[in-house]
Amino acid sequence: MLFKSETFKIVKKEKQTEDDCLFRLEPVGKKKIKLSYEPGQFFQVSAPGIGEAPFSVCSYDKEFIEFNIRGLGDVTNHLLKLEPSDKICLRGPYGTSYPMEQLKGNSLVIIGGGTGVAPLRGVLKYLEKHRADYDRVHLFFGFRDPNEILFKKDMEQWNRIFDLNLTVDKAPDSYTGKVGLVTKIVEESGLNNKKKAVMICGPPIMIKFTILTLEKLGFHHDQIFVSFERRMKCGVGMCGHCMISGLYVCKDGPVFRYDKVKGLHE
Amino acid sequence: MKKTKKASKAKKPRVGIQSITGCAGCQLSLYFIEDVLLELFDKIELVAAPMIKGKNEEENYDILFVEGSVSSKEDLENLLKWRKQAKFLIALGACASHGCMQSMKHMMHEEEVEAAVYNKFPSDKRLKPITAVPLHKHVQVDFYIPGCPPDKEEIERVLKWLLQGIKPRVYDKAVCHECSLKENYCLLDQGIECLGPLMNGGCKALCPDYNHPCTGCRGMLDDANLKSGKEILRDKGFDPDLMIKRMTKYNTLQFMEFESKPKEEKK
Amino acid sequence: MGKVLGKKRLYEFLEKVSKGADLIAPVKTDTLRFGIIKDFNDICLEGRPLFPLKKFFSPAKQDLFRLNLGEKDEPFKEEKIMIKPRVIFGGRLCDFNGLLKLDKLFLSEEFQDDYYKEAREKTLLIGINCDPPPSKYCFCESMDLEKYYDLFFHDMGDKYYIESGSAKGQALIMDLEDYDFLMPNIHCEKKLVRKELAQHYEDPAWEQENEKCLSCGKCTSHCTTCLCFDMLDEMQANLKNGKRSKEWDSCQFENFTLVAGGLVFRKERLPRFKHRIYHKLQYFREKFGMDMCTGCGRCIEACPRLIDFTEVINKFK
Repeated sequence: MLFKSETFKIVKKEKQTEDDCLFRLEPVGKKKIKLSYEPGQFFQVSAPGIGEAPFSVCSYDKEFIEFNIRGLGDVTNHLLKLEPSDKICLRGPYGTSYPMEQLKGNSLVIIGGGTGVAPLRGVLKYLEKHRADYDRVHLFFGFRDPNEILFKKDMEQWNRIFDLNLTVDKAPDSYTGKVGLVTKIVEESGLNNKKKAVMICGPPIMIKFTILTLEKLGFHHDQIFVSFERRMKCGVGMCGHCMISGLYVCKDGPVFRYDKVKGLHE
Repeated sequence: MKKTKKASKAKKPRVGIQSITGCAGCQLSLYFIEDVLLELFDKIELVAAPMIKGKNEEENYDILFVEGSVSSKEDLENLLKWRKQAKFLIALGACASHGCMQSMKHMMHEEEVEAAVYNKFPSDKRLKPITAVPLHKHVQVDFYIPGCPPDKEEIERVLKWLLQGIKPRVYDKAVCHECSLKENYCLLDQGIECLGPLMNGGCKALCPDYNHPCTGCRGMLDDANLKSGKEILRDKGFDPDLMIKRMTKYNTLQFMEFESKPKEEKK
Repeated sequence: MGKVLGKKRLYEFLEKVSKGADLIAPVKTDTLRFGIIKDFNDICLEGRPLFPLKKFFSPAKQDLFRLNLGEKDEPFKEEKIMIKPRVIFGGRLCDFNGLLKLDKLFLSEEFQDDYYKEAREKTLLIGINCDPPPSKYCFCESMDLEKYYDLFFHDMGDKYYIESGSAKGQALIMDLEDYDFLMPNIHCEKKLVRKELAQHYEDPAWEQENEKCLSCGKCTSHCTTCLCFDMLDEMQANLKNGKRSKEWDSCQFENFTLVAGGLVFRKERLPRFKHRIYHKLQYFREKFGMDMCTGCGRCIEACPRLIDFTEVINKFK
């Protein structure tokens, strides 16, 4: 049936910030389902009796799925109360993914703001496994303040194998890292658009200004991939909630090449 | 055995139902959830309900329903006291949510009303009335269950949501939505001055379903297009004074706020 | 060439074709509505029900799952779909074309709605020609409707001329007498002048009409093809059992595009109004090569302010 969820088990829960936790889930049951999902796709996660909410995957693995969950509403607040060995129901994967195969041989510029870094973590987990297929990987991540930084453990690893640029909007004087908007560090990088593809995920306002910055650096819109956030209810292009112009974010997205979606009417 | 019972009892949320000026019908709606009332009451500790209980506590409410509007000094004192005692305060019914009929005084003169109502006893000031207002004019209200009377199923739903530990959800669709799903013959088309398109539904369009025009007991929609609403009624030839009276029957203050708002349309 | 059926034999015919099935036809109660027929005399073919047929294919509220929180491994149990075979009699061409459009959404290659699918398979469609159109708001002539039906009736006074549109339909009228007649096309007074909408997004005509909009959602609930929905969980008083259901929603409501954190993407009324019309006439066409509008005019007829999008479009320079 269309909206039927599968049961998973929480095998790991890692606190990321005051409001976020990273959950690792594995399928349960004797017949283990082979997991197959791509970075950029999402699942509808259930809090039975409360409702469902869409979450982008932030892992890349055949054995488990990981989600970063931030307590923003009733569903997420319920999910945050769950602990390892608790069961969780989800359905998916839905939607489009980042065209990793197609981008082989290119350099990647990956730009994330706040919780928008979570879906990009899926891309990076993919890249960790396929590092040799790509040229340089530039990461630009912005968070509101040092306490909001997600995936601190991964950051160390990413710093080694990718070019990681991390910034926070504001920080106490004792903070030794970079302070400033993510658009600023993108601009300072002086990157050109030669053989590159860009992936952006973050709040609408951040996406808007990042694209302006990229334009200044000479990037074309067809080099940029954006991921949109909407409240999908069905996930399968029926319920109408996530429509932007004629596009269903759940089915035609959430990952779009920017030249296909710029200037769309809400 | 007794001990375990007590231990589990200690966890149950303490719920109260208190009244200020109103008809107490809202409270009655709550007791009308007959089918599941006992099951629900089993999950809470009903610590205050003066209508059905002799002994009532006034402290540490986890959830407190308050019905009625603030219409006297005594009401106000009670409300301020209860607010301090309650973690989650729900305005129950039209009086508590929007002021209901007693707030019609906002569009009249105090003396005029007193003369009309108490003309036989001009010197009787025992009631010390103040111009009636809904609860949120004096205290913070955490949730509203509007309606005159409120829908018992909605009360049940809200209580269940709170027991599930989630925020209750507001019904914010026009009366027309539910009315049209019932395939009713639109009262406006029959020349009856129904306010459905301007008013908050959630009532299952009970009145229009029985050919009685909506008078908005669940308050005006946040999104109400009052200008257009007035134009319909004007186009259909209804008496403008009567219309204003209809619209303000339950929602005088809300109506006045809408009227004083700068043009919300456009953009 | 088609067949002919004397009016006196209509009930007999309907009884035969609806054997073992529910017969659904317009019934006059307080309003004219599509309902299940218990007595053939209740059938009313004068006028057209204002509420479309979609309710028989995706109900306003449909339970999807039963919920039992006690069963941690499998809290959701599918609600069985039980649909009796049925025959719809007295639908109009716009009604049946609406289904063709909904098929695109609910029976796509990747995802099929089980209820809708079963309902479609179990329904026989017998239409009746509109001569004259049942409402002054009809404009289906401008919408290129397909001749989609199992059987199609044309009122000829004392008899019906019948054409079939499917093998299933053909089999049902085999025994009837042949008749030579040219089924007249539908002629509507109202017209929609087809234009490339994309160029007119900022046209002031939108705004004039939008000012009247009350966001009551009657246009979408009465639309032949609007079936946007929400999904909700509700628990019983024991807080252990409950259900997950699907309920009609409308893009005309303020909070339709609300996302976690409180942002609403179509907060203003105007983009909501435009979204409805652009979805019907542009977005859907881009995706599926057809309009999502059948020209039934119900959205206009049902609107308390008679907001008429065809007039908006016709006004474009």
